Amino acid sequence: MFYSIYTFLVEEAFFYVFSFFCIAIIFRLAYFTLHSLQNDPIVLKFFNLKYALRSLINWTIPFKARNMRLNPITFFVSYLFHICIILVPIFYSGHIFILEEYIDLPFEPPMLPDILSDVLTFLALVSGIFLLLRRIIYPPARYVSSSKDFGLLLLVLIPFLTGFLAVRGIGGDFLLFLHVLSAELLLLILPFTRIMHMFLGLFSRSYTGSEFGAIRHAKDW
Amino acid sequence: MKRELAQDIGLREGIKRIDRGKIKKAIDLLFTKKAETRLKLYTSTCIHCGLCAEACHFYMSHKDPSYMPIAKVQNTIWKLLKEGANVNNQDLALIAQIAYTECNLCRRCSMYCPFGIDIAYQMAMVRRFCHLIGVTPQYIQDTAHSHAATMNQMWVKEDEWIDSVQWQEEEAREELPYLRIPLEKYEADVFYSVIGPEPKFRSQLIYQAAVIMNVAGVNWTMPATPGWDNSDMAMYVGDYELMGRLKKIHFETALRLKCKKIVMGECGHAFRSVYDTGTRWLGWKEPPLPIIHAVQFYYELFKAGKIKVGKTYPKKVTFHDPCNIVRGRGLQEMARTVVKAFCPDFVEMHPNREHNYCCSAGGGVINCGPPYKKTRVKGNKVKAEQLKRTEAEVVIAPCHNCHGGLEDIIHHYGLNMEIKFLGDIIYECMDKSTHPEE
Ligand code: SF4
Ligand code: SF4
Repeated sequence: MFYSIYTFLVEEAFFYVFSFFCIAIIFRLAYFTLHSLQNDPIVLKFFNLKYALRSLINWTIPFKARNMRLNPITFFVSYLFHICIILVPIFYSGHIFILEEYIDLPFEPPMLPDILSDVLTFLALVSGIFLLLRRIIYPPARYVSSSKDFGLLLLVLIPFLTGFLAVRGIGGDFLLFLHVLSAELLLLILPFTRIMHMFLGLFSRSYTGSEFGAIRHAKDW
Repeated sequence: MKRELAQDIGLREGIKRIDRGKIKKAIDLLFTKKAETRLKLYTSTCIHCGLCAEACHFYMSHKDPSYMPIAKVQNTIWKLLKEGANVNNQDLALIAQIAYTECNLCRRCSMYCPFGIDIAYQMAMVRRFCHLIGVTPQYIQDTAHSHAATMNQMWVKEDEWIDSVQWQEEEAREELPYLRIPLEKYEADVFYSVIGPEPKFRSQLIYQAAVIMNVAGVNWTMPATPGWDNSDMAMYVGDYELMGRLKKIHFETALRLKCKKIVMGECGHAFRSVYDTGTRWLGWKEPPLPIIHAVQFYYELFKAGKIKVGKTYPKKVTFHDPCNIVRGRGLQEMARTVVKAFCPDFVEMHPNREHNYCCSAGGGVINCGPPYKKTRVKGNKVKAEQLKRTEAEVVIAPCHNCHGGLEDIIHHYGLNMEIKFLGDIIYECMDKSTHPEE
């Protein structure tokens, strides 16, 4: 039983879920772009590529922004968390093997050595828990956090936890099943949650960067 | 959030006359159906991390999270999004109180949020909402009324304006007999405009500006008609229609006199309104004629050798970077060039430049009057500490609001410091012996 649901989830469902995920994200980004044409023409009129990039670059360089230097641990852990949760799902060898079973890739896909995948997954969990604790302990974060924020972070962590354990053979098929299910669920809801900050954040940073650079002649980091 | 509603008749009476239909319309217009993309984007992007907390002097002074930037959005916009037009009256008044008196729209926090989320923009939207539903603090609303009736902020009548200018001319002629304040001169290089409070309370600033202009041999003028006041409390009340009228008459007066550029006195908010907010509202990307702030103007005169150092300023000074001309226009280095030329004993305060702490008076907060004086002074302990660490005797702040705010802070925290405009220092120390026409 498990096995047939599992294959369904991995084969057909994944294809639909992933397509949905991509389309939903494109749709959401298009929505904001088109919306601004109609309701907020200032945004595109004052958008300035040079200063948008200046801002993005300066905020990507670790510890360049003053706030990063004021909160080094939080920013360090956040960087780590984001790097791990992006790299592992895409480049974990197990995922790529499954993909190769269904699609003939015309190139040799890059893969993470398994040991590195393991370490990164572990770090993702640790840093995720740190961020969770930070939400509880650091008063400003607690003040503004709602149950949704905690829920979302947990939801992101579940596929990593289940994956980490499943690779070790813990929990058997059931855990593997849970791993796939939770990951697909995450992909489904992700475009409608705050996790969209990974794309929308680029928009807002670029706009603020444009204003600061082109109009205000000031730094924004 | 623990907040008492202030003894402010504007808020207390305002909520008694509330019209639910209006509230619904305003919410639709600003926050839901017709909301601007930026507002929607910021609401969807913010990850509730609280990393903006340390940007805000209110939070840094109280260490109470309800004062951090995003908390102000949470307690205003998110509340309106959640409760819609049914939000209760008391909460509405508190929403107004937060937006008008607990945020200086200084935009420091957009430099601390990893996504550059603009809290000041959102607070300005809340103010616009409050304006649309008619719940605004009394004092600042009164200045807006004055703007609407007289086109200046301080109920100065047309003849009173001319009188004040001519009175200052007369006084200054005792010092420099050749001095003139040319009114209504056509095709001057410089159209000089000031804020309403200058003729009302700080007329020596007009005197000083006239001395600097005359010694530097600038071809300048001031208008004798409404349009002389460049200030803009309408922008801070949220009355953008009125803001548009004000900016229009200011520009049109300069254009009527066919002047080449506008030079504005040492005021920050007026500068923000003229070169940016108001210009945009009128549909211009760039102002219709060049506009520069006094700091840049003095810098240019200094570089051109038209202002010379006569004597150096003897006291130890520090420089306060006003948000609207530094974070708002990058004039920090120009200001420092002039300050350092006149004041050899100069120390930086930390943090400085774009990262300087706000004076807590700007954004119209000081204009909300006595009911909120405590809010802004207690909410800026961190500024007092920052000033104290410099051990300077004088702080130079080229902005009217900063002056008012720093004065109260220095007094409340018992710091032994004087506050000066950049023009004060230049006037006092420049070489006035050269008569340019000789
Ligand atoms: S006062 Fe300045 S730092 Fe504080 S919330 Fe307002 S804009 Fe942000
Ligand atoms: S505004 Fe920015 S810094 Fe503040 S909570 Fe939201 S995402 Fe974090």
